[in-house]
Amino acid sequence: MGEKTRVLLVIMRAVAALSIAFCLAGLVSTQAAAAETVDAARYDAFWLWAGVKPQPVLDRAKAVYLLQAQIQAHPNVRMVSQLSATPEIRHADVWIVYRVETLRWTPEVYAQLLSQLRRWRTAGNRVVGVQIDFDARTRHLDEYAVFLKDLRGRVPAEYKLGITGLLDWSANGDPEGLDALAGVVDEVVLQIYQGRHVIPGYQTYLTRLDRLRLPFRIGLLQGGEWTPPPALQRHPYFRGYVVFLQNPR
Amino acid sequence: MRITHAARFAGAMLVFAPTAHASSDYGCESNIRPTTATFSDCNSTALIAPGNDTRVNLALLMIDRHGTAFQVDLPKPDPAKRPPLIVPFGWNDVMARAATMPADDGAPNVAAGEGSICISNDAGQSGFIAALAAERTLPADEKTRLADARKNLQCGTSETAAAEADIDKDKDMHSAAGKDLLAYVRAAERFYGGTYDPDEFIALSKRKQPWVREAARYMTGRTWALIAQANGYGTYGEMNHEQMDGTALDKAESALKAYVKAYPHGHYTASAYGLLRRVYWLAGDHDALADAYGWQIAQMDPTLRNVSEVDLAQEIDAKLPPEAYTAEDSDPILLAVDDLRRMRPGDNGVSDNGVITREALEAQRSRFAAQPALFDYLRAAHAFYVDNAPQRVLQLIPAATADKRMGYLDFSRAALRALALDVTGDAGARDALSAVVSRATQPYQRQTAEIALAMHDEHSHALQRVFDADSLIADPLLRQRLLQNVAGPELLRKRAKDVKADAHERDIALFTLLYKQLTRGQYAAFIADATLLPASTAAESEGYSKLGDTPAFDDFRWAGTQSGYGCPKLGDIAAALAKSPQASRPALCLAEFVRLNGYDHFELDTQPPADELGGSTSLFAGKAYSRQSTYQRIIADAGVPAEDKAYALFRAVNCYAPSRANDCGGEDVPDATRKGWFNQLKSKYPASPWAKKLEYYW
Repeated sequence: MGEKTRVLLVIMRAVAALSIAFCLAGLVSTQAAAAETVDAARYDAFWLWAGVKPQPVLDRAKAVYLLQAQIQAHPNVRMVSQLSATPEIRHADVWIVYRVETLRWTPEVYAQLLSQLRRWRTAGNRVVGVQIDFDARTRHLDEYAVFLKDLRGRVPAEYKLGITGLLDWSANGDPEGLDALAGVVDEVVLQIYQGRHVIPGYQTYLTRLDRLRLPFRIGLLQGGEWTPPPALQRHPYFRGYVVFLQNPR
Repeated sequence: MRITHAARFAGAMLVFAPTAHASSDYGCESNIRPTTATFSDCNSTALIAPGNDTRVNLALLMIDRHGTAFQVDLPKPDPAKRPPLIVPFGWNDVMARAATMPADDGAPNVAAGEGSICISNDAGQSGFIAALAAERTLPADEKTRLADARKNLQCGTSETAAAEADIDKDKDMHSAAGKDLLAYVRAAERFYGGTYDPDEFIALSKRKQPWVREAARYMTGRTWALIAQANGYGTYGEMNHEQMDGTALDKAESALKAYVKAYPHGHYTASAYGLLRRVYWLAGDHDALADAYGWQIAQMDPTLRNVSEVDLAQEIDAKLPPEAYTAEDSDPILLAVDDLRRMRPGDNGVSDNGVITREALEAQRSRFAAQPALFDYLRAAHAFYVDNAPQRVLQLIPAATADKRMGYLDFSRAALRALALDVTGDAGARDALSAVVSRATQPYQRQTAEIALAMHDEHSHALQRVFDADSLIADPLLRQRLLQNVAGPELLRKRAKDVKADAHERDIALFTLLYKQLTRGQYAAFIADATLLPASTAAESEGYSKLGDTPAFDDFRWAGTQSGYGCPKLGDIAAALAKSPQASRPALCLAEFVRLNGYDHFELDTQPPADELGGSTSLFAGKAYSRQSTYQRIIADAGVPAEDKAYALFRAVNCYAPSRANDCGGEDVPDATRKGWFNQLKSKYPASPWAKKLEYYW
């Protein structure tokens, strides 16, 4: 992981979560509706991460977010591929996904990304966009926006640019940072989980999505909990879901 | 996520098998202990132990066996910044800190770990150039032309422009060796262009030029292996074993075996053994795979090993079936790794076949005949981690001679013995622990031993020794953890003022001192020590951490608040409390300081578990702060002014808003109590702005 130690990060996260919950003035129902389990068969867009076996639900997917590589920070910045071969997906839109530890990319990393894009396209994949999976902290969204703006200029215009996001952006992110993102990325997928766990009290964060002014999807965990807030479907920027597939236990 | 060595991946990572976390950083909490029996993702240490990742134990034992150095690039602590966590570590850290990275050979557009033939283009070129230099019958001009031709070879393009451009060179090759070498360049061009034709390399292997003969034999096997997997991938780029071409795999195996037989120390022998492992894995031939890994583990000739111990451990973990660890002819290292795994507590969902019994372990004696020190260590580990019998550890591991460089097994034996002495309360425990620290030389050993020694001092009421000038505890993270969690005011003040201390250690000491004085009732001392505060730097604190590279010292200059329930500046609050510690308004204002500056559930109000460094009783008197306790006290106090009472009720109810989780610290109170607070505010203080503002309770 990055320069922050795990133990401190965990503490920081806990502090962050608590301070967020604390800041919320909005009232949520104290009686949450019975939690539902995410059944992948009821969705049509999926993340396929390294180490997760393809599942039959993918065959009728409309969009597949496929992890191609990780941009490692340590001990030196480099791209590490997470796939055995170039995919050949004919039936769905494809997002090429990069898990990013650092925003200080080397020229080689950019070259590798563009080369992979070309290879995916040449292999017949309907590549619609590049998704960056980076845990930007709310206070530094503006820096992230600068990175993304630069990346936008490098990736050919026919590809969309997407990002994953943390739920607390909507609750805690400074509005300028969020607005800066809105002008650069085509969509953000907000994950309601961290690691393999649904974030406790995610409904609380969702009540704050009204601040969001960019197209977003909600990222769900296969087999995880999900209770959609009633207003979500009416949100003008809501674009649906992406389900993170997991191997059966 | 890494549960056992049996965890499998569908994907065919050559070396890097990533874990399938959505965001892997958050799944594991580091526990600062020298060793543990219970596995988790990020809590391995240099002490070979049940709780370590099996890959860590495997890598450490192989490093010992091979006598190699553990190549790691550890983060360097900066005296002015928050220290990095070195130990414990996870396998991801081992991989990320590996100092020997696979070279990004000659393929700038190919990422590390990408399954591309291009990764060998650069090495292939150097090999070819070296072969030219070694070929004495080759005229100088032919040498130059051949070198140019090879250098022009671009990987990953089917373009033959380079070949066409220098087609004339065929005519220029007059020497027999030159013709052979040029034919090889042509074959390599087609190969790197993506055309896999074993016949071409078979023909080349019958040529006269010795290097061409050798390289072509190797390439025959490599080409068959590529053909075998040509259709072996699924829609999503995943490997599909069922679709591998079995005939081609057989041919690859025969060719590679023939090559290593003919060239037991050839240019590509180590690589051929690596390819053979891949062929067995693609074919699903578990027996052959187990033999190949056993051979690689036992291989003492470094020129016949094509990967580092860390990479080999990763590869074995991803590809070797679990039963191969315990097979009758498995290497003792593999058996030891599995024995240790089976010493993990049986109820944590990690062990799949029950905890190994002492009898079962003793029955393995003959398997470890050649490695008695390892076997005795396993027996000692069983005594320590499973049977809780530290005395038996002392019988099994005699005191070591202290004159040689410690391998990881030596280190583990010495450390486990010292820990057993510590557990039994032996008077020699501290000397033994200190000796392990002093003797540590290999990566992670020192930090692991320091944790044990620091915990010994912490628990034997000798915290000061950690900070003495001659202290062996150098890891800044360990020192600061003890200051934050255990140190009393005198030690904190001393560290804060010590000009020889690291800047960040001084900062942490001062911040901890001031925060705890303020929240544990030492108001006068707070006012006195606040003079130690550094000048305001106006530096933004990082993220949500108050204790980052620059601790949030400016918080102690809090100016108070005019809006809402008004409060004066923090210094005035402390002064009022110094005069009258129970006074309601300053007490509520201190709670406002905590609330508005984000100190709820602050890390200085929590302590690590008792079995971790910093988990002993704090030497700083007073209880951890919680706002709720303040509100409860004021609510219960009949003599409090109405405004303060109303505000305490308002805030107490809001502790649970809106998620019903208590943000204010302290014991959760039942719904009825929250309802009672709500009703009390509404009925007794209806005119209060706080009563009007509060619409719900949670």
